[in-house]
Amino acid sequence: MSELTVDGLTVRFGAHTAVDGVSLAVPAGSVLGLAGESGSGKSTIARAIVGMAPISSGSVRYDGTPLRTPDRRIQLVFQDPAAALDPRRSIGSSIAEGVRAKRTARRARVRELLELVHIDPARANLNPREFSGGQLQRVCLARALAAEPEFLIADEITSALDVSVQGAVLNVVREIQRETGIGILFISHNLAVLRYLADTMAVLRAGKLVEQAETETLLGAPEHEYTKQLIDAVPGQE
Amino acid sequence: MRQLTRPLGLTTLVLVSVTLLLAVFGPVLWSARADSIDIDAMRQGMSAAHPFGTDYLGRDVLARTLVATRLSVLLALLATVLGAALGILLGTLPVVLGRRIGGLVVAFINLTVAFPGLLLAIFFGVVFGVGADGAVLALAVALTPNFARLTYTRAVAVAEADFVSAARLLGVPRAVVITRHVVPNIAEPLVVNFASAIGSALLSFAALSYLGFGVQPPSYDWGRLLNEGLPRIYTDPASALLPGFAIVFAGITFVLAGELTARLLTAEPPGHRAAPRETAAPGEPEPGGEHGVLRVVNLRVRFPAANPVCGASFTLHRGEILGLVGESGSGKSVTGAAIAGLVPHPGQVEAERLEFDGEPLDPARLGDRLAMVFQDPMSSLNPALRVGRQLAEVAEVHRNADRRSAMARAVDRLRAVRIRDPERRAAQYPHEFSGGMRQRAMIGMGLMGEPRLIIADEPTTALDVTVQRDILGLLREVRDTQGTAVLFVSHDIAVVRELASRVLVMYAGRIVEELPASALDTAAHPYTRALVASSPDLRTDRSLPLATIEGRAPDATEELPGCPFAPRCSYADERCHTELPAPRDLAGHRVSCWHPIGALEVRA
Repeated sequence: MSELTVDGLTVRFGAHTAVDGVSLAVPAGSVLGLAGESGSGKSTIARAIVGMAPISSGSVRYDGTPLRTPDRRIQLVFQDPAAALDPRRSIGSSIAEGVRAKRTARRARVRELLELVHIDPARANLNPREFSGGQLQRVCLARALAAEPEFLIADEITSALDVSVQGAVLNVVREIQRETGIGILFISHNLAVLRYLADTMAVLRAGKLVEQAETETLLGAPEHEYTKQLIDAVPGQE
Repeated sequence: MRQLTRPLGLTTLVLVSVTLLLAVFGPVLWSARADSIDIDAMRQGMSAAHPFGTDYLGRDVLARTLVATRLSVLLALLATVLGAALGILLGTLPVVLGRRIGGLVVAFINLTVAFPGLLLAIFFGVVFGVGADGAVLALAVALTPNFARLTYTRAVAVAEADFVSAARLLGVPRAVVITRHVVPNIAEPLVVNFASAIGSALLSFAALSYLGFGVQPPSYDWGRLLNEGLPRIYTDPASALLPGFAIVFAGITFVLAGELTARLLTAEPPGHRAAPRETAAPGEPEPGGEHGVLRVVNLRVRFPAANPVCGASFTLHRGEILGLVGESGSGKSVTGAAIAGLVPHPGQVEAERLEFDGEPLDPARLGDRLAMVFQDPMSSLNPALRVGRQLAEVAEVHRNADRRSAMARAVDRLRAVRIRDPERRAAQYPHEFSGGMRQRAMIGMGLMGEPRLIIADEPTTALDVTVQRDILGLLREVRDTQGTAVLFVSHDIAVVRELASRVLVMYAGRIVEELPASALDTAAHPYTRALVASSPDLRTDRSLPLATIEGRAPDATEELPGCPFAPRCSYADERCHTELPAPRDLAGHRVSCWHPIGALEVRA
């Protein structure tokens, strides 16, 4: 397992620069939380890493070598789980798609993955519409893990969920990370969610990186004015 | 499957079976009679022996029309199958080919769609040569553009879906992605289009044959028979009308079949039907003695298939910010809409009491005393009108203000919601505003009058946190300076905690707990507790797993006899599952629960 490095990444869409010279490093087995408001370029970074957005300049390296996408070692989990699962296929077959094994072994692996995300394996034959949003997001996590990735990118994976089920998804992410030692780039606009999961945090604003530090340091003693503003704006603080 | 037993479904099934039976057995039964030439009975009118007369060789028109069913339907089917195949092929090309060549194909498809189908068919009929084969090909080509365009637009939409991206990231080969994910998801509209295309192919084919491009003697289809019968329409109308009727009959049959397929495919998965939820618990006392700005007792909202609100009671006082918190489907937004008279048809609002300002609430007479702020200000502002104009309109309608003073007030209100340079901004269109500014403008619109109540439905959900903070500050300021009451509807308990003084917690169409915002951490209802505990904040202990609520909220179509939260509640016992708890007062909380947490053992 090794480090994912993003070096001087710039993504332009026509005249608009969505990501502007961002450099990040996520060491093996650690969680980097990427914060920022809408339009800051968070999702574009995620998509650029997996080859779904054009890289104008800069590089994405894994294990020191430039990444060639799609690469099964790096998986992306999307914001809206209902849109990320084929509505016509059972959740089991969606997960099985990522498993490289013979028939019986594949079925066993799907069961294992569903148990890992706390979904009853007996429900593997059901279609996505039989599940709640939170359960579907856990199914999406299981599907991503089916490829046995070394690295996971989670793009606002709890933003479309109700609070009561968000917790279950975050708990599963944490468990997976601890059990498999997978590296995670966790993207969210919610600082409280990032604080709960991330070892280090980076703050993005208008495509540029404004601050990057250990989570405790960044939230406890922010250096950049914008980071301070973001922290102050978190609701529910006395 | 219910569609099949409805009148449309039954009619269609009968018509399709009749047509198919005729197509299969018609030639077997009546061929001999249809082909027997009788020189003595040429061009006869209606008679007992020949109910619809005979043709120029004395053959029975009825028998010939029945026999012609097979050829007519078969040729139409053949043309449609060919056309659909060609269209699907052409429509998938742009997705498979690169952007440049694909773009050319798309342009070509769009160009051909512009031509009338029958015109294309006649043109190609001439090109491919007169006769049944040529006509089938011609019609197939004429049907192609429609299928191609449908395939292309659907394929593009599906190819951009997240689940297709996910499959690619898993390393699933491109061809497999197309057959496994793309094709099944575009099949549905294609099947619908196919069924109704048979109907129009049938009509078009009859037209071609009638014009002499299609089936040639001695073969005959309905168009051919019509062609033979029509010259005699004034002397023997029956011999022309019968094939005409057959064409119309089969055409309608297949168009109906298309309609039915569409309904069958788009029908919701078997769901529970309008099971009316039990309404408010019996013997519920009325809250609040003095009348506030808004007083709601036992509010219910019913839709034919669901009951999103079933018994909500609360009072909102002058200058108070009341939070209404709940998850999606809890009925919180519908509650707000019901008070503002904005429940869409066919929803029905009922309440024991619904009083605004001490008198029964009449949505038609609310005028500008009640303002509503929605989640998405872009869709609640008219994109084609300048912002100032939209605000001014409120004063013109409700206060009979003239244009000039109305505009002056609009500018003043924009200033009041702290929009910088309000004169210039008033002359701009909504798209020139940022999301936060649009929301300010919406609030400003609400302040054009002197509202007693603002209902804000998720007003900050679409906004960034820094902007959210400004909007919350603005609502507080309006309350402080004008004494306006605010009903703040939100899914975000942290925001509600920060803004509101009192909080209503809604679950499955009911208010399960009413409590001071400061007491959220010591909520009495297990649901409120879980809701608070499951959303992490900046003080959450990172070493512990977050609290979770297993299962999902019942949707508004389900009927549960007991407490709606019981299936997910760890405190639930037998009684919770069978008996609906009535609201009762517990140390400043008003809670509907049989086992409130930390209950001071005050029995109702």
